[in-house]
Amino acid sequence: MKKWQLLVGAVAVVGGLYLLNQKLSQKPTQYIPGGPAATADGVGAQPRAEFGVGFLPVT
Amino acid sequence: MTQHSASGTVFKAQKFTDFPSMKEALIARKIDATFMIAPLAMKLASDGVPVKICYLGHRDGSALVVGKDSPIRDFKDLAGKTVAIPSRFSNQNLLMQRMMKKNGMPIDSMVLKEVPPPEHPSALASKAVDAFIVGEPHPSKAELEGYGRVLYLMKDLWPEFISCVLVVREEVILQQRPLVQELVDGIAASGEWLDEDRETGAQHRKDAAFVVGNMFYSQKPELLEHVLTKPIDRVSYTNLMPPKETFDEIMDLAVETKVLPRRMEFAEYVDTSFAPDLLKVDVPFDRLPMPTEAQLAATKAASQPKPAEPAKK
Repeated sequence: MKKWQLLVGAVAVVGGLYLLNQKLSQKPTQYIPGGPAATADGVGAQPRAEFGVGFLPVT
Repeated sequence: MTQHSASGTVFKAQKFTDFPSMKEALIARKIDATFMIAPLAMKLASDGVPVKICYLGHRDGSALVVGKDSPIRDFKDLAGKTVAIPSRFSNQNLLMQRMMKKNGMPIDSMVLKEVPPPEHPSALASKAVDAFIVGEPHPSKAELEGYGRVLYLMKDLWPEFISCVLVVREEVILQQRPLVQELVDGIAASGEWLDEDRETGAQHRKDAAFVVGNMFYSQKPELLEHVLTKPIDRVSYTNLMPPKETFDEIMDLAVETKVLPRRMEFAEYVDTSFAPDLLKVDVPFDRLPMPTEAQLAATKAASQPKPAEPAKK
């Protein structure tokens, strides 16, 4: 096998791993009922889900 | 709302300064849910945005305010005047229409001017408007700063008045039901906690004024304590299940005044299935955890305006 073929193969593998990493990183946080809970102040705990709630400081 | 629920979900509170940008964030799925004025939520549903009203934020909590030395003494005196409203799609707008009808006044007997809520007090102070109707703490601000006088609290005009409601995107309701339930249970529990010692000193409300004023609203705790305690029923946080009869009335008013293009059935825009049995709601604390000195200092520093960068040559 020629050097340039090895180089193309290596680039393809690195590129594939990069894309796979990107995809896995984009996976949204899953809500797991009954999963481990955060402490009341959230310190030192892994939240099991996130949820964005908007508000305006007005009643 | 606390940042962390007892069971481990992070509810990220995102502050907005106006309803149009909040609406856009909800449409663009930048947020999963929001507290929004009820008719605006109904308009979104009417426009085909997949959202449902799942709970109320509070009851009452708005006021009609006039200048301190204004000759306006009752609703009919507002004829020919300019009154600021938070939005065309607000229940405050519909209440004004309802009151004009009730008093036999033509619908054009006063000018209703849309003004963003935080600008209501300054508009009154500068006499750009003769009165304003909006949610707290803006009426209390005008009162405490000495240029506003409450003509009516909402509880006196439309008892159990509905202003802001919890709106949730439908795909979240379908796919993350336990999360929505956790959120609604948390709102119900917070409401129970805020109202449960109202007749015995209202320490819970005083705690809430301190924490929310410093940590979330960046407003003076004294102002929020005024809102929550003077009088004690100025705003209430129980009985928050969306009531069909009241929403039908809001819908009829909205269609009649052309705020909404068509009448919708209650089930088209409301989902009451998350509203918990209040007798079973667990309030997980007695006193609210107070922020530490370091947290207060960090919040104060974050709210300070940043110095302008020097102009580049």
